[in-house]
Amino acid sequence: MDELLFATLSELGAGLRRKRFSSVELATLALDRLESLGRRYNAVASTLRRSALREAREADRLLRGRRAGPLTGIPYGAKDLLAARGSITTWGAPPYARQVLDYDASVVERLRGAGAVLVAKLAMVELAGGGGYRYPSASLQGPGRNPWNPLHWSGGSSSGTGIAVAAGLVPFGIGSETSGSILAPAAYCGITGLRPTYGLVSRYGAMALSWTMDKLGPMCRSAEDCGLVLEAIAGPDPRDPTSAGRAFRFSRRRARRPSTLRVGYAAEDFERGVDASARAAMRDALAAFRSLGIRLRRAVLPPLPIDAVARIIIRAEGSAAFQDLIASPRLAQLVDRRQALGLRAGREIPAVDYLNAMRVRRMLQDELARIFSEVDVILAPARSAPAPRIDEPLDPEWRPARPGGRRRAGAARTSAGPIGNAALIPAGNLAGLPALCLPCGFSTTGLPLGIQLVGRPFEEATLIDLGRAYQEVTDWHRRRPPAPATDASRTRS
Amino acid sequence: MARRPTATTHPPRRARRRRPPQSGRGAAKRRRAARPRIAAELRGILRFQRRSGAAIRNVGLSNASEPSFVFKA
Repeated sequence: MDELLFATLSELGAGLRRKRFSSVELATLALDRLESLGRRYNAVASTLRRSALREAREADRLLRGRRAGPLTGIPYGAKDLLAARGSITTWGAPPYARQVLDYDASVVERLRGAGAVLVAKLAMVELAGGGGYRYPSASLQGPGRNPWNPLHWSGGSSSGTGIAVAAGLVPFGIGSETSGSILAPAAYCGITGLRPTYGLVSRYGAMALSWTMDKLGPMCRSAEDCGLVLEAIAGPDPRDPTSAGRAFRFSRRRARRPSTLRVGYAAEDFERGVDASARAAMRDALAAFRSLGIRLRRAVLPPLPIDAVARIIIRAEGSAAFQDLIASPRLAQLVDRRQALGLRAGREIPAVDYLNAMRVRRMLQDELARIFSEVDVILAPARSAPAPRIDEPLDPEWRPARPGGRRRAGAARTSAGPIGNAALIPAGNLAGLPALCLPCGFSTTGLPLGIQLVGRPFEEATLIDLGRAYQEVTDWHRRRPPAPATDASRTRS
Repeated sequence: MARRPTATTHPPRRARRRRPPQSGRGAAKRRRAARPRIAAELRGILRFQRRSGAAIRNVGLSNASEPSFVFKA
């Protein structure tokens, strides 16, 4: 029965419609796994057994009446920054550990309308990483443990969603991305994650970190699953002023054959731009894309300080969004001291620096529009290395200022130019572009790796089509992490 | 032979580090002792922020360069 939660949404939908299992059985299975395995991986903020079983019974009724859609009766988890009536919404942070937002986020409302069953709120990095965190442990729920090796990190900030899908606790989940929070955990956990175009999915009811960059998106087993979930959650919403007023329709019929696509890439991203343990897998991934007949050509991001622009904008907006917390003694309750200090420091960013960052952002958007007049998709490794160890600091080069005030040797430099398209995640986020992360193999240390496809605004269908074509010739998305030790073996010595 | 402890053979550690109490005996002394370290870390973050701002200024923005206020995806 556990196998079921590793099935794709189409397989689950078919099983539900043919009465091979019921929605109540699926929800119960997911809840049991979330409450046992989920806690072990620090993937769960809270489970919603009572409301989930009620929703599942309603879904079973719809399934009997043949009024079911593709998501009817399928359990899912939502990152704990989404409001859901009757649940606690912690934002992953101790100061909000008892917060109750007694309404549904748009995404939760839409998924309920589509018949999906919300079984859990999933763990996350506190405040989605606002202020900048130093350790994977920066979460009320503890460090996200990677199901492929629990001594390694799951990635963040949608840590619980990445883990829950990878470990077969739920068939899909909802994550959020400001700059990498869907793509990084998807890559580290070996699942498929979609970051939609800015404005395509309503953020009503989601915690705000950066108003001009936050996005919500699906984290699933396959590109096709991402398409099915995106169709359910995308669409206009007058309650979100940044809503683009567009919908998304998923079709299994491909709009374009892969051989008609022009794909931009930088060869160095797949060589010296990646960790040695990931190089062979990345080369193979590139070869698999070539085998689809796509037309590869060089495309490289402009030489702009992309990381610095993203940092200034997210810091300034985050410190404004959390100004009440920063002014309160509860700030000290954050797990990661770096975050508390980062949020305080964000208030010192001059308005001129923020405005200049927005001006460079415009230049970057124009440059990307020029690149996308020559290519349809940009292809690059999602992360340059596999998941780091759970006890390692995430910024090994960073050093605090000496009490005397001089910079220490080895401190990170912002002016160092990135290799190839290494800054594609912040660049894509600054420009509001959609991206799809696909599992593409394993490092020599046995950890999953991901590759990202970035497209033009509102061209998610192109990315999903190409992702589906890739997943037809590879089986990385079908791989499962090793079964964790049972309780019996854990107590054996 | 005892098995080597791993994350999967032992339950995960508690989510949060156990912190010394924020109040009570010795708390004020601990807070005072931590101040220089925290202040140094904050200065480091501020310096890093200023360098980010400087990197952006070095791009060579002209008077005609407008910010992307009205966000257009």
